[in-house]
Amino acid sequence: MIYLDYGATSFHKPPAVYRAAEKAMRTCANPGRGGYGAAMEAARTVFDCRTAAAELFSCRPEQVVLTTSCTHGLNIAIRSLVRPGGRVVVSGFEHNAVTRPLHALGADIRVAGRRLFDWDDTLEAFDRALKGADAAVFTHVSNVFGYILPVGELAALCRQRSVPFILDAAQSAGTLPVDFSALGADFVAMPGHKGLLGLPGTGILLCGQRGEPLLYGGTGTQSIRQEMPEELPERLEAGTLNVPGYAALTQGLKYLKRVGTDAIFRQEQQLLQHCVRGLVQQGFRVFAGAHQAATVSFLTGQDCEEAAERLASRGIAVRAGLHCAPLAHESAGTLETGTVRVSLGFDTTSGQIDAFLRASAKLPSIR
Amino acid sequence: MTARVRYALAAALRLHGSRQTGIDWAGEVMGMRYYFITFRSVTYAQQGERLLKGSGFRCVLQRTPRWMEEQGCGYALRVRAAEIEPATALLAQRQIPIRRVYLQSKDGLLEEVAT
Repeated sequence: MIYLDYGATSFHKPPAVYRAAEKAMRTCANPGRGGYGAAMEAARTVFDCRTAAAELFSCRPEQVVLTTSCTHGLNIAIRSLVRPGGRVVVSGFEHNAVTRPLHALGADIRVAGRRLFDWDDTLEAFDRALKGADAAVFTHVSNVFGYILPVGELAALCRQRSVPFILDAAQSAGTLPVDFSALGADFVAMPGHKGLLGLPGTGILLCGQRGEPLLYGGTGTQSIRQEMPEELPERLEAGTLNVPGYAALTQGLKYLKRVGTDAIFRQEQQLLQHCVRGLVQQGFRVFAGAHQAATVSFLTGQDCEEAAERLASRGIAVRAGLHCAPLAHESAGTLETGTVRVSLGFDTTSGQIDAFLRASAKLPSIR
Repeated sequence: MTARVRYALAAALRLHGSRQTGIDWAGEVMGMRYYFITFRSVTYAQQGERLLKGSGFRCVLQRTPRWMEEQGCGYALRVRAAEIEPATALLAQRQIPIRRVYLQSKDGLLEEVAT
Protein backbone atom coordinates (compact mmCIF):
# COMPACT_ATOMS: atom_id res chain seq x y z
CA MET A 1 0.00 0.00 0.00
CA ILE A 2 1.17 3.51 -0.82
CA TYR A 3 -0.20 5.58 2.02
CA LEU A 4 -1.14 9.14 1.11
CA ASP A 5 -3.70 9.84 3.84
CA TYR A 6 -1.56 11.48 6.52
CA GLY A 7 -4.32 14.03 6.99
CA ALA A 8 -6.33 11.23 8.57
CA THR A 9 -3.50 9.72 10.60
CA SER A 10 0.21 8.99 10.33
CA PHE A 11 0.07 5.36 9.39
CA HIS A 12 3.82 4.87 9.66
CA LYS A 13 5.66 5.86 12.85
CA PRO A 14 9.32 6.08 13.87
CA PRO A 15 10.34 2.71 15.40
CA ALA A 16 10.83 4.21 18.86
CA VAL A 17 7.13 5.04 18.98
CA TYR A 18 6.09 1.39 18.79
CA ARG A 19 8.75 0.34 21.31
CA ALA A 20 7.73 3.00 23.80
CA ALA A 21 4.09 1.90 23.76
CA GLU A 22 4.97 -1.72 24.39
CA LYS A 23 7.46 -0.85 27.13
CA ALA A 24 4.86 1.29 28.90
CA MET A 25 2.31 -1.52 28.71
CA ARG A 26 4.78 -3.79 30.48
CA THR A 27 6.17 -1.38 33.09
CA CYS A 28 3.59 1.31 33.87
CA ALA A 29 0.60 1.13 36.17
CA ASN A 30 -1.81 4.04 36.75
CA PRO A 31 -0.05 7.41 37.11
CA GLY A 32 -0.80 9.60 40.09
CA ARG A 33 -2.61 6.89 42.01
CA GLY A 34 0.09 5.12 43.98
CA GLY A 35 3.60 5.45 45.35
CA TYR A 36 4.99 2.11 44.24
CA GLY A 37 7.46 1.63 41.41
CA ALA A 38 5.12 0.96 38.51
CA ALA A 39 2.85 3.88 39.46
CA MET A 40 5.78 6.28 39.76
CA GLU A 41 7.13 5.00 36.44
CA ALA A 42 3.76 5.77 34.89
CA ALA A 43 3.81 9.25 36.41
CA ARG A 44 7.30 9.87 35.05
CA THR A 45 6.24 8.62 31.62
CA VAL A 46 3.33 11.03 31.51
CA PHE A 47 5.47 13.89 32.75
CA ASP A 48 8.06 13.13 30.06
CA CYS A 49 5.32 13.68 27.48
CA ARG A 50 4.38 17.01 29.00
CA THR A 51 7.96 18.23 29.06
CA ALA A 52 8.63 17.06 25.50
CA ALA A 53 5.53 18.92 24.32
CA ALA A 54 6.44 21.99 26.37
CA GLU A 55 9.85 22.06 24.68
CA LEU A 56 8.47 21.72 21.17
CA PHE A 57 5.66 24.24 21.61
CA SER A 58 7.30 26.80 23.95
CA CYS A 59 5.12 26.52 27.00
CA ARG A 60 5.29 25.20 30.56
CA PRO A 61 4.62 21.53 31.33
CA GLU A 62 1.54 22.32 33.40
CA GLN A 63 0.04 24.05 30.35
CA VAL A 64 0.14 20.73 28.47
CA VAL A 65 -3.17 18.96 29.00
CA LEU A 66 -3.21 15.42 27.66
CA THR A 67 -6.40 14.60 25.80
CA THR A 68 -7.75 11.68 23.83
CA SER A 69 -7.83 13.58 20.54
CA CYS A 70 -7.79 17.02 18.98
CA THR A 71 -11.56 16.91 18.94
CA HIS A 72 -11.58 16.29 22.70
CA GLY A 73 -9.27 19.26 23.19
CA LEU A 74 -11.35 21.51 20.96
CA ASN A 75 -14.48 20.62 22.89
CA ILE A 76 -12.78 21.54 26.18
CA ALA A 77 -11.52 24.78 24.68
CA ILE A 78 -14.80 25.78 23.06
CA ARG A 79 -16.85 24.98 26.16
CA SER A 80 -14.40 27.03 28.22
CA LEU A 81 -14.51 30.11 26.00
CA VAL A 82 -17.94 30.19 24.39
CA ARG A 83 -21.21 30.69 26.21
CA PRO A 84 -24.48 29.56 24.62
CA GLY A 85 -25.44 32.01 21.91
CA GLY A 86 -22.08 33.75 22.01
CA ARG A 87 -20.70 35.32 18.83
CA VAL A 88 -17.76 33.36 17.46
CA VAL A 89 -15.65 34.08 14.39
CA VAL A 90 -14.34 31.12 12.44
CA SER A 91 -12.53 30.78 9.14
CA GLY A 92 -14.20 29.38 6.05
CA PHE A 93 -12.21 26.16 6.32
CA GLU A 94 -13.06 24.72 9.74
CA HIS A 95 -13.51 21.06 10.51
CA ASN A 96 -16.64 19.65 12.17
CA ALA A 97 -14.59 19.33 15.34
CA VAL A 98 -14.95 23.12 15.54
CA THR A 99 -18.32 23.76 13.95
CA ARG A 100 -20.30 20.99 15.64
CA PRO A 101 -19.46 22.01 19.23
CA LEU A 102 -20.27 25.59 18.32
CA HIS A 103 -23.54 24.50 16.75
CA ALA A 104 -24.39 22.49 19.87
CA LEU A 105 -23.88 25.63 21.97
CA GLY A 106 -26.16 27.62 19.72
CA ALA A 107 -23.28 29.97 19.01
CA ASP A 108 -23.72 32.88 16.60
CA ILE A 109 -21.12 31.69 14.10
CA ARG A 110 -19.59 34.31 11.79
CA VAL A 111 -17.55 32.84 8.94
CA ALA A 112 -14.64 35.04 7.88
CA GLY A 113 -12.52 34.41 4.79
CA ARG A 114 -13.75 32.09 2.09
CA ARG A 115 -11.07 32.39 -0.58
CA LEU A 116 -8.54 29.62 -0.76
CA PHE A 117 -4.85 30.48 -0.40
CA ASP A 118 -5.70 34.20 -0.07
CA TRP A 119 -4.18 35.75 3.04
CA ASP A 120 -5.45 39.24 2.24
CA ASP A 121 -9.01 37.99 2.03
CA THR A 122 -8.70 36.01 5.27
CA LEU A 123 -7.16 38.88 7.21
CA GLU A 124 -9.56 41.53 5.94
CA ALA A 125 -12.55 39.34 6.67
CA PHE A 126 -11.35 38.58 10.20
CA ASP A 127 -10.56 42.24 10.79
CA ARG A 128 -14.20 43.09 10.07
CA ALA A 129 -15.75 40.13 11.82
CA LEU A 130 -13.84 40.38 15.10
CA LYS A 131 -15.63 43.58 16.10
CA GLY A 132 -18.03 42.60 18.85
CA ALA A 133 -16.97 38.95 18.81
CA ASP A 134 -16.83 36.95 22.02
CA ALA A 135 -14.25 34.49 20.72
CA ALA A 136 -12.53 33.22 17.59
CA VAL A 137 -11.65 29.70 16.52
CA PHE A 138 -9.56 29.05 13.44
CA THR A 139 -7.60 26.25 11.89
CA HIS A 140 -3.90 26.51 11.14
CA VAL A 141 -4.15 24.33 8.00
CA SER A 142 -7.28 23.24 6.15
CA ASN A 143 -7.57 19.47 6.30
CA VAL A 144 -9.22 19.45 2.87
CA PHE A 145 -7.14 21.85 0.82
CA GLY A 146 -3.94 22.30 2.79
CA TYR A 147 -4.46 26.08 2.93
CA ILE A 148 -2.11 27.50 5.58
CA LEU A 149 -3.93 30.35 7.24
CA PRO A 150 -2.00 33.45 8.43
CA VAL A 151 -2.34 32.43 12.08
CA GLY A 152 0.36 34.75 13.38
CA GLU A 153 -1.47 37.73 11.95
CA LEU A 154 -4.87 36.40 13.00
CA ALA A 155 -3.55 35.92 16.53
CA ALA A 156 -2.30 39.50 16.55
CA LEU A 157 -5.70 40.78 15.41
CA CYS A 158 -7.40 38.84 18.19
CA ARG A 159 -4.97 40.12 20.81
CA GLN A 160 -5.40 43.71 19.62
CA ARG A 161 -9.15 43.38 20.01
CA SER A 162 -8.95 41.37 23.24
CA VAL A 163 -10.84 38.52 21.62
CA PRO A 164 -9.88 35.16 23.14
CA PHE A 165 -9.09 32.55 20.53
CA ILE A 166 -8.52 28.89 19.94
CA LEU A 167 -6.17 27.49 17.32
CA ASP A 168 -6.91 24.13 15.72
CA ALA A 169 -3.45 22.74 14.97
CA ALA A 170 -4.70 19.32 13.83
CA GLN A 171 -2.96 19.50 10.46
CA SER A 172 0.00 21.68 11.40
CA ALA A 173 1.47 20.30 14.64
CA GLY A 174 4.63 18.48 13.70
CA THR A 175 5.09 20.22 10.36
CA LEU A 176 4.66 23.95 10.91
CA PRO A 177 5.95 25.94 13.88
CA VAL A 178 3.44 26.28 16.72
CA ASP A 179 4.93 28.70 19.24
CA PHE A 180 2.42 28.87 22.06
CA SER A 181 4.08 31.70 23.93
CA ALA A 182 4.33 33.84 20.79
CA LEU A 183 0.76 33.21 19.65
CA GLY A 184 -0.85 34.27 22.91
CA ALA A 185 -3.68 31.82 22.28
CA ASP A 186 -6.09 30.79 24.97
CA PHE A 187 -5.96 27.23 23.69
CA VAL A 188 -4.20 25.27 20.97
CA ALA A 189 -5.52 21.79 20.22
CA MET A 190 -3.74 19.04 18.33
CA PRO A 191 -3.98 15.28 17.86
CA GLY A 192 -1.20 12.95 18.90
CA HIS A 193 -1.60 10.62 15.95
CA LYS A 194 -1.12 12.83 12.89
CA GLY A 195 1.94 15.06 12.51
CA LEU A 196 3.15 14.31 16.02
CA LEU A 197 3.55 10.66 14.97
CA GLY A 198 1.95 9.17 18.08
CA LEU A 199 -0.94 6.78 18.51
CA PRO A 200 -4.68 7.28 18.03
CA GLY A 201 -6.41 8.02 21.31
CA THR A 202 -3.98 10.77 22.24
CA GLY A 203 -3.92 14.51 21.88
CA ILE A 204 -2.57 17.68 23.42
CA LEU A 205 -4.36 20.82 24.47
CA LEU A 206 -2.06 23.72 25.24
CA CYS A 207 -3.77 26.01 27.75
CA GLY A 208 -3.25 29.72 28.21
CA GLN A 209 -6.02 29.80 30.76
CA ARG A 210 -7.42 27.41 33.35
CA GLY A 211 -10.39 26.28 31.29
CA GLU A 212 -13.52 24.48 32.37
CA PRO A 213 -13.63 20.72 32.78
CA LEU A 214 -15.49 18.73 30.20
CA LEU A 215 -15.17 15.51 32.20
CA TYR A 216 -15.48 15.20 35.96
CA GLY A 217 -13.94 12.37 37.90
CA GLY A 218 -10.85 11.10 39.68
CA THR A 219 -7.54 12.84 39.25
CA GLY A 220 -5.47 10.98 41.87
CA THR A 221 -5.04 14.10 43.99
CA GLN A 222 -7.19 16.28 46.29
CA SER A 223 -9.65 13.42 46.51
CA ILE A 224 -11.76 14.93 49.32
CA ARG A 225 -12.78 17.89 47.21
CA GLN A 226 -15.85 17.33 45.08
CA GLU A 227 -14.79 20.04 42.65
CA MET A 228 -12.19 19.33 40.02
CA PRO A 229 -8.77 20.72 41.01
CA GLU A 230 -8.12 24.37 40.36
CA GLU A 231 -4.72 23.70 38.84
CA LEU A 232 -3.77 22.58 35.39
CA PRO A 233 -3.33 20.07 33.97
CA GLU A 234 -5.23 17.85 36.39
CA ARG A 235 -8.25 20.14 36.23
CA LEU A 236 -8.93 19.00 32.67
CA GLU A 237 -7.75 15.38 32.96
CA ALA A 238 -10.33 13.28 34.78
CA GLY A 239 -9.92 9.53 34.65
CA THR A 240 -7.05 7.25 33.78
CA LEU A 241 -4.58 8.54 31.22
CA ASN A 242 -3.55 6.47 28.22
CA VAL A 243 -0.01 5.94 29.47
CA PRO A 244 1.22 3.73 26.58
CA GLY A 245 -0.22 6.28 24.18
CA TYR A 246 1.61 9.16 25.81
CA ALA A 247 4.81 7.12 26.06
CA ALA A 248 4.59 6.67 22.31
CA LEU A 249 3.73 10.32 21.77
CA THR A 250 6.83 11.34 23.69
CA GLN A 251 8.95 9.48 21.16
CA GLY A 252 7.12 11.15 18.31
CA LEU A 253 7.78 14.56 19.86
CA LYS A 254 11.43 13.72 20.43
CA TYR A 255 11.77 12.53 16.83
CA LEU A 256 10.40 15.85 15.59
CA LYS A 257 12.71 17.80 17.88
CA ARG A 258 15.65 15.81 16.56
CA VAL A 259 14.81 15.92 12.85
CA GLY A 260 13.27 19.40 12.86
CA THR A 261 9.74 20.21 11.70
CA ASP A 262 11.11 22.68 9.15
CA ALA A 263 13.09 19.92 7.46
CA ILE A 264 9.97 17.78 7.25
CA PHE A 265 8.01 20.72 5.86
CA ARG A 266 10.61 21.45 3.14
CA GLN A 267 10.68 17.85 2.02
CA GLU A 268 6.89 17.66 1.93
CA GLN A 269 6.71 20.88 -0.08
CA GLN A 270 8.96 19.46 -2.81
CA LEU A 271 6.81 16.36 -3.03
CA LEU A 272 3.63 18.43 -3.01
CA GLN A 273 4.79 20.49 -5.99
CA HIS A 274 5.72 17.30 -7.87
CA CYS A 275 2.28 15.87 -7.12
CA VAL A 276 0.41 19.04 -8.08
CA ARG A 277 2.24 19.36 -11.40
CA GLY A 278 1.42 15.79 -12.25
CA LEU A 279 -2.26 16.11 -11.40
CA VAL A 280 -2.60 19.32 -13.41
CA GLN A 281 -0.95 17.68 -16.43
CA GLN A 282 -3.41 14.80 -16.14
CA GLY A 283 -6.29 17.22 -16.69
CA PHE A 284 -7.83 17.26 -13.22
CA ARG A 285 -9.16 20.29 -11.40
CA VAL A 286 -6.50 20.78 -8.75
CA PHE A 287 -6.89 23.09 -5.76
CA ALA A 288 -3.41 24.50 -5.29
CA GLY A 289 -1.85 27.84 -4.51
CA ALA A 290 0.52 29.78 -2.31
CA HIS A 291 0.45 29.04 1.43
CA GLN A 292 -0.26 25.35 1.05
CA ALA A 293 0.79 22.51 3.30
CA ALA A 294 1.32 18.98 2.00
CA THR A 295 -2.34 18.30 1.29
CA VAL A 296 -4.00 18.71 -2.09
CA SER A 297 -7.56 18.08 -3.20
CA PHE A 298 -8.56 17.46 -6.79
CA LEU A 299 -11.57 16.59 -8.94
CA THR A 300 -11.61 14.03 -11.73
CA GLY A 301 -14.21 13.30 -14.36
CA GLN A 302 -15.93 10.79 -12.06
CA ASP A 303 -17.45 10.66 -8.58
CA CYS A 304 -14.76 11.32 -5.97
CA GLU A 305 -15.55 8.18 -3.93
CA GLU A 306 -15.42 6.02 -7.05
CA ALA A 307 -12.11 7.59 -8.01
CA ALA A 308 -10.70 6.87 -4.55
CA GLU A 309 -11.98 3.29 -4.80
CA ARG A 310 -10.18 2.83 -8.11
CA LEU A 311 -6.99 4.20 -6.59
CA ALA A 312 -7.39 1.86 -3.61
CA SER A 313 -7.68 -1.09 -5.98
CA ARG A 314 -4.26 -0.09 -7.25
CA GLY A 315 -2.84 0.08 -3.73
CA ILE A 316 -3.09 3.86 -3.30
CA ALA A 317 -4.63 5.08 -0.02
CA VAL A 318 -6.33 8.47 -0.26
CA ARG A 319 -9.50 9.93 1.20
CA ALA A 320 -12.52 11.19 -0.70
CA GLY A 321 -15.76 12.93 0.16
CA LEU A 322 -16.31 15.87 2.46
CA HIS A 323 -13.52 15.06 4.95
CA CYS A 324 -15.68 16.04 7.95
CA ALA A 325 -15.37 19.64 6.75
CA PRO A 326 -18.49 20.69 4.83
CA LEU A 327 -17.75 24.33 5.62
CA ALA A 328 -14.44 24.10 3.76
CA HIS A 329 -16.12 22.51 0.76
CA GLU A 330 -18.84 25.13 0.85
CA SER A 331 -16.19 27.86 0.75
CA ALA A 332 -14.38 26.23 -2.17
CA GLY A 333 -17.53 25.37 -4.11
CA THR A 334 -17.09 21.59 -3.80
CA LEU A 335 -19.92 20.78 -1.42
CA GLU A 336 -21.88 18.91 -4.10
CA THR A 337 -18.95 16.94 -5.50
CA GLY A 338 -16.58 16.47 -2.58
CA THR A 339 -12.95 15.97 -3.57
CA VAL A 340 -10.23 13.36 -3.65
CA ARG A 341 -7.60 14.33 -1.11
CA VAL A 342 -3.92 13.42 -1.11
CA SER A 343 -2.04 14.21 2.11
CA LEU A 344 1.67 13.53 2.41
CA GLY A 345 3.71 12.69 5.49
CA PHE A 346 7.13 12.65 7.03
CA ASP A 347 8.23 9.54 5.18
CA THR A 348 6.49 9.98 1.83
CA THR A 349 8.91 9.51 -1.08
CA SER A 350 9.06 10.78 -4.64
CA GLY A 351 8.77 7.18 -5.79
CA GLN A 352 5.43 6.93 -4.01
CA ILE A 353 4.23 10.12 -5.68
CA ASP A 354 5.28 8.72 -9.06
CA ALA A 355 3.36 5.52 -8.36
CA PHE A 356 0.32 7.55 -7.34
CA LEU A 357 0.51 9.59 -10.56
CA ARG A 358 0.74 6.41 -12.63
CA ALA A 359 -2.46 5.23 -10.98
CA SER A 360 -4.25 8.58 -11.19
CA ALA A 361 -3.45 8.75 -14.89
CA LYS A 362 -6.04 5.98 -15.34
CA LEU A 363 -8.81 8.18 -13.93
CA PRO A 364 -10.99 10.18 -16.31
CA SER A 365 -9.93 13.79 -16.58
CA ILE A 366 -12.17 16.83 -16.31
CA ARG A 367 -11.48 18.15 -19.79
CA MET B 1 19.32 4.47 50.06
CA THR B 2 16.56 1.96 49.37
CA ALA B 3 13.62 1.60 51.73
CA ARG B 4 14.77 -1.90 52.56
CA VAL B 5 18.20 -0.66 53.67
CA ARG B 6 16.63 2.13 55.65
CA TYR B 7 14.31 -0.21 57.51
CA ALA B 8 17.17 -2.64 58.13
CA LEU B 9 19.31 0.10 59.58
CA ALA B 10 16.43 1.28 61.77
CA ALA B 11 15.97 -2.22 63.08
CA ALA B 12 19.69 -2.49 63.78
CA LEU B 13 19.66 0.82 65.62
CA ARG B 14 16.73 -0.34 67.77
CA LEU B 15 18.63 -3.49 68.64
CA HIS B 16 21.48 -1.32 69.86
CA GLY B 17 19.17 0.74 72.04
CA SER B 18 18.83 3.78 69.80
CA ARG B 19 15.58 5.60 70.26
CA GLN B 20 13.53 5.44 67.09
CA THR B 21 10.15 7.09 67.08
CA GLY B 22 7.91 8.67 64.55
CA ILE B 23 7.56 7.65 60.98
CA ASP B 24 10.46 5.40 60.01
CA TRP B 25 10.50 6.42 56.35
CA ALA B 26 11.00 10.00 57.47
CA GLY B 27 14.73 9.28 57.48
CA GLU B 28 15.64 9.53 61.11
CA VAL B 29 18.06 6.65 60.43
CA MET B 30 21.67 7.70 59.98
CA GLY B 31 20.92 10.99 61.71
CA MET B 32 19.64 12.65 58.59
CA ARG B 33 16.75 15.05 58.86
CA TYR B 34 14.41 15.95 56.10
CA TYR B 35 11.84 18.45 55.03
CA PHE B 36 8.81 17.44 53.03
CA ILE B 37 7.46 19.84 50.48
CA THR B 38 3.87 19.26 49.36
CA PHE B 39 2.44 20.56 46.11
CA ARG B 40 -0.95 21.49 44.72
CA SER B 41 -0.69 18.96 41.93
CA VAL B 42 1.34 15.94 40.95
CA THR B 43 2.58 17.82 37.88
CA TYR B 44 4.03 20.59 40.03
CA ALA B 45 5.60 17.96 42.28
CA GLN B 46 7.19 16.35 39.24
CA GLN B 47 8.41 19.69 37.96
CA GLY B 48 9.90 20.35 41.35
CA GLU B 49 11.64 16.98 41.36
CA ARG B 50 13.11 17.49 37.89
CA LEU B 51 14.24 20.99 38.73
CA LEU B 52 15.87 20.12 42.02
CA LYS B 53 17.53 16.95 40.77
CA GLY B 54 18.77 18.74 37.70
CA SER B 55 20.28 21.39 39.96
CA GLY B 56 22.13 18.85 42.07
CA PHE B 57 19.73 18.48 44.99
CA ARG B 58 18.98 15.05 46.33
CA CYS B 59 15.23 14.62 46.67
CA VAL B 60 12.64 11.88 46.52
CA LEU B 61 9.14 12.13 45.11
CA GLN B 62 6.64 10.12 47.11
CA ARG B 63 3.02 9.94 48.12
CA THR B 64 2.07 12.30 50.89
CA PRO B 65 0.93 10.69 54.16
CA ARG B 66 -2.82 10.93 54.51
CA TRP B 67 -2.69 13.15 57.58
CA MET B 68 -0.45 15.62 55.76
CA GLU B 69 -2.83 16.13 52.87
CA GLU B 70 -6.04 17.77 54.11
CA GLN B 71 -7.68 17.59 50.69
CA GLY B 72 -6.77 13.94 50.31
CA CYS B 73 -4.12 12.36 48.09
CA GLY B 74 -1.03 14.13 46.87
CA TYR B 75 2.67 13.99 46.31
CA ALA B 76 5.56 15.40 48.30
CA LEU B 77 9.25 15.94 47.76
CA ARG B 78 11.54 14.81 50.52
CA VAL B 79 14.51 17.17 50.76
CA ARG B 80 17.48 17.06 53.09
CA ALA B 81 17.29 19.62 55.88
CA ALA B 82 20.52 21.35 54.89
CA GLU B 83 19.14 21.98 51.40
CA ILE B 84 15.65 23.22 52.19
CA GLU B 85 16.33 26.94 51.89
CA PRO B 86 18.09 26.88 48.52
CA ALA B 87 15.61 24.28 47.30
CA THR B 88 12.54 26.35 48.14
CA ALA B 89 14.25 29.46 46.79
CA LEU B 90 14.88 27.72 43.49
CA LEU B 91 11.30 26.47 43.30
CA ALA B 92 10.04 30.00 43.91
CA GLN B 93 12.43 31.43 41.33
CA ARG B 94 11.13 29.04 38.71
CA GLN B 95 7.52 29.75 39.72
CA ILE B 96 6.70 26.24 40.85
CA PRO B 97 4.11 26.78 43.56
CA ILE B 98 4.29 24.71 46.72
CA ARG B 99 1.54 24.02 49.21
CA ARG B 100 3.18 23.34 52.56
CA VAL B 101 6.50 22.40 54.08
CA TYR B 102 6.92 19.96 56.95
CA LEU B 103 9.99 19.43 59.08
CA GLN B 104 10.86 16.16 60.65
CA SER B 105 11.34 17.03 64.33
CA LYS B 106 13.95 15.53 66.66
CA ASP B 107 11.60 12.82 67.86
CA GLY B 108 10.88 11.77 64.31
CA LEU B 109 7.47 13.43 64.03
CA LEU B 110 6.59 15.78 61.21
CA GLU B 111 5.34 19.27 61.84
CA GLU B 112 4.33 22.02 59.48
CA VAL B 113 6.67 24.97 59.20
CA ALA B 114 6.11 28.43 57.82
CA THR B 115 7.17 28.84 54.21
